[in-house]
Amino acid sequence: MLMPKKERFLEEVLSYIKFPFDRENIKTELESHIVEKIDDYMEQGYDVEKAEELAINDIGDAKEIGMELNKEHNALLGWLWKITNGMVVLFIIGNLFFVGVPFFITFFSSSPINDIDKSSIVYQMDIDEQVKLDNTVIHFTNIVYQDNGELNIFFEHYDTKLWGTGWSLGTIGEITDNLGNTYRARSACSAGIKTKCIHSLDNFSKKADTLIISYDSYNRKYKVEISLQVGENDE
Amino acid sequence: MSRGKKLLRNMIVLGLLLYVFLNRSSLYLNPLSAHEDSERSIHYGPSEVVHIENFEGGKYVLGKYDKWVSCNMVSKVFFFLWGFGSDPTGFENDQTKAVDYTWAAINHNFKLYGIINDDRVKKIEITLGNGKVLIQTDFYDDLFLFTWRDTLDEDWNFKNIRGYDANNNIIFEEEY
Amino acid sequence: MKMDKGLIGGSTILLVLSLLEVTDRYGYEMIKELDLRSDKTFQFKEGTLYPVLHKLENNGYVKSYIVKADTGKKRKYYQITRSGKKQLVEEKKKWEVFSTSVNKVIAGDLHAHA
Repeated sequence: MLMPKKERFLEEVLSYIKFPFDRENIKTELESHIVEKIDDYMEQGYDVEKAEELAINDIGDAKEIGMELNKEHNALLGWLWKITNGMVVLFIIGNLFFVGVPFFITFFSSSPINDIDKSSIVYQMDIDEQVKLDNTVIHFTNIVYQDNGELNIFFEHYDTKLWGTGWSLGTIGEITDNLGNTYRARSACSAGIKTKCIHSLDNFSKKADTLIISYDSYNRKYKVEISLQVGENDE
Repeated sequence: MSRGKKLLRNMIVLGLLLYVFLNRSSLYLNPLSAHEDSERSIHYGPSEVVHIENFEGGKYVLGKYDKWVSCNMVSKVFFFLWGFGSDPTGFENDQTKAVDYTWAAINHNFKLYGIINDDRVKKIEITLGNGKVLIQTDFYDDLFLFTWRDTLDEDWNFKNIRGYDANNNIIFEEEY
Repeated sequence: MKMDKGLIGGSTILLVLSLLEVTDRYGYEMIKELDLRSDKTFQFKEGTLYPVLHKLENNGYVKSYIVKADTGKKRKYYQITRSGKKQLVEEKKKWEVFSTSVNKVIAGDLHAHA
């Protein structure tokens, strides 16, 4: 059913609506009004054309209605709303990446202690030594000594500002033993908010009974001394 | 909810999301905040900032911390945000030298910075590989900073540094 | 009786909110209801109802939802909100003060002529 008057009316009203995303809804609402009115007139016995004419006459001046509607559909507000909607979505995606990924990694990364071959372990100790460098908390958790002379230090570190990110932890300090030997560590760390690390020292002295980790850099200092189990077989 | 309220809600949500983003992404609205967090996170400082200098891609932050002298770099990200750059920690000042300094080149950006330990030094002059001479007489407290960029066709490496007194006598000289 | 548009202008909010007081309605239904209740006193251009409704929606006095009728027609229904109900009470009060005052003036006028 062609209704040119209705179409012309709607088109004119919409021409005053500056915010494009509201046009469709306004059109739907006004159109359904007109169509129902036409139906009512036709029920009263008018033919389509007459009914359409009467209905359009009843509804009023397209320009007036259009301009009034435009006031209620402020384009600036509309655009700001649209744009901020988009930004919210973007930021949520961004934050999922920046917050979600590290959290995900943190909770799903397994402890590196599981990577050690169980049969090679001479002894294993749980320790609980905690030190702090600025906002970084370093927590030494385990020592594993292997039959190939490798001593593994397990520790985790995190930032007290949980969201804090920054340079990754460079060194935990100088590693020595009570006999005066200095060791170089091979290190491996997981990523995430709470980082799990392993430092492996090759050929660790079997006679040493204390492991010493001392940090002294840029006026920050700590010293951790860990008593080791000296293997009975080796004495 | 009316559109005005939705907009307000969006702004509040955006503010919160931005806060989280800035905290998690190690990006900052302010270059000095980036500098401070950069130092703290690498367990250095906080240094006393004596001079800030722009360069293509960011800012140099010249500062002193106890016996160290540093020239941290913070980089500009997305036009208005600031992130960690490089080289946040400083060198240890050797007070026995009239002038102590260090230099570095990162992505065509050269910097030479240092400290004047001998009060008589009133002018620092450096010579580059291509013969160019840079001079500085106004210091930042007792610190100085030279910055330059290189081009591929010339040798822009640092070659020589001299410290002069008020009468143009050489007090300090070192070749690289 | 046809009434000047300006006359109902001031009480549009009262009229529209009253129509929605008991039940949710769509635009055309409100027009018909208005005709019915007022005995076609308020003969105004029907389309002007919509800017009013959208304004009320912006002010938070009403909210809207779309219902798809069995015939496939989409109708936008309006529902009065809590703040709309509060506003309605206000408008009714205002109207009472207004009509009482008008009545007093008219009565005084009559009295003077008596």
